[in-house]
Amino acid sequence: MNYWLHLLILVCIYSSFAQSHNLLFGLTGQLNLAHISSFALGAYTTAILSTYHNNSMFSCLVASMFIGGIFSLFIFFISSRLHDDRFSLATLALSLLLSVIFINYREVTNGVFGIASIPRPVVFNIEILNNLNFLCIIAPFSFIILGINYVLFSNRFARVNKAIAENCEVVLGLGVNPKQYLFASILCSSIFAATTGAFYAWYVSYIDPSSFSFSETVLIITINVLGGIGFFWGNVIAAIFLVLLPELLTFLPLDSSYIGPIRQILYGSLLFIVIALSSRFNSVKLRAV
Amino acid sequence: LELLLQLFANGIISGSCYALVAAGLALSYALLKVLNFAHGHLIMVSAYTFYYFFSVLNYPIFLSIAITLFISILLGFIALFIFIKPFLNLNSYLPLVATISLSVIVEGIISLLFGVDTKSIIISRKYHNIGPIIVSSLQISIVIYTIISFALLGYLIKYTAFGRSIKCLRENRYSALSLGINERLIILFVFFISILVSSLGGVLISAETNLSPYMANTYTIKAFACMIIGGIGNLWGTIYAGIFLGILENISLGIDFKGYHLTSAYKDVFAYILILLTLILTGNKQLRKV
Repeated sequence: MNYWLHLLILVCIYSSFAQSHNLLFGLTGQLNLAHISSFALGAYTTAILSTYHNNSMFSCLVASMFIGGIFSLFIFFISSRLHDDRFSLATLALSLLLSVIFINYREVTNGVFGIASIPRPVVFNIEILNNLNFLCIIAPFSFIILGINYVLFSNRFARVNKAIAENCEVVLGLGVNPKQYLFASILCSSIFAATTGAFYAWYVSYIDPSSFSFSETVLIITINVLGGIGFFWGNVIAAIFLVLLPELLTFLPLDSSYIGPIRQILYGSLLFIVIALSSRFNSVKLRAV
Repeated sequence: LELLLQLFANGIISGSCYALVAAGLALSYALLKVLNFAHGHLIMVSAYTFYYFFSVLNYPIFLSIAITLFISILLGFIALFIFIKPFLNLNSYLPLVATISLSVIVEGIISLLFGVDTKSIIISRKYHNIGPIIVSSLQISIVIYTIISFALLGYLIKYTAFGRSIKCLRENRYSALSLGINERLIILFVFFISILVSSLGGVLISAETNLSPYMANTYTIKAFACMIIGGIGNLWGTIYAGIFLGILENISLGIDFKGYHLTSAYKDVFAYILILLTLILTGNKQLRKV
């Protein structure tokens, strides 16, 4: 029972995290490789505030969102200058820069040792001790995040962003400021990622720089691609599927040191197969050169 | 000053490693216009193959280099035909995501086969004193190999019909095609050369430093950094940028800012900062000079 609750919590975390990446990647087609940094910033903010300063849940969340919002300004600055693979490369450099800071700024982040024994939050004077209580807290939040995403995916916002991805000049000609929409989607995706990061820190109760490595980015890209880029429900289902899939591996009679690499190969080949099939069936546009 | 000289020499050595890795990437980027995210991983595969044949099976050194080259070229063509070619003219994130998936798969397979712990290749090395600087024979061979391979590359690109057709394809694809240049053959051959240069470089690097499944991303990023600083698609700029990056990283260890030393943990920061700065300053302009 406890195991299933654990899986449900992971599904909540990863579905809202992947959905927040889908908000930018799916709508505007820009692959933001620094998305894991928003998540990491949220997680670190919450970990530091709740472990060392005993802040309440509400203030931790607000601070994480604020930091995520500030970080989105950097990404917006990059995106206003660069597009496509240059944007991905620049955001990758930004995220690696941040991970070097996480490792080396020992006074705040405790370096490679990470921050251990992060206390679970206290809500309405009720201490959250077991997984069931934690699920009761995280489920409403991830429903809110997914709900906001659903609203954003099904109205004018999504249509304008998709139009920006296809042809920016036409959007300008129709009297819409593309920068506003781009900024809004970057801001939302970064804030959602930071919020999920805060819950991740509370749930796992131990974070170090290696928990925000590149393989996490690959996981959310896989979820996005498998669920259909820019498709809301597909991403939710793909997140459930990909969180549950590696759990099957634990039933196999394998040495535990093999599970990590096999999971990596599994994600990589799934990603490639889906990409190859989707390009074969021509559901993606030709590159405009 | 002796420390600075030593660091300068180290910088040239690691810089030539970066230049070797980046030259292959720049060559393939100039024609394919695809950020090959798995480039460092191809190099890692060649390094591990060399490790397996040379250190585990105790084959003679030239035989193991030959086997390594064969396997890495085979893998390179698999990468080209399965992971890069089908996505060439599609939306720009697709080839990027495809090569990311290749890199993840390769990293998984390598850590499955060899384990995640670091390995090192033991080669007998002599140390020479050149003035105040101490270098090993391996490091000298790295620099010599770099100079030779760049001289050959330069000759190939500047003085042969093949090099001129590469330039032509890079400048204007349609007129090159209408002049009867066989694009497929050229792409194949350029990829072959880039794999050859980089995988030999990978063997030397792996002998110089340690091997681990996670080393590949660092080399990919450093190679991207060199390529971007040097001007995208510009071979010579890439090579100079590689050597510049190596010297910068090593010299920064020796300079103290009012008693505050940069530790080696901050070494990688230069590559990231240079990528960010160059990209942001140049914007979306296409830097495709030859």
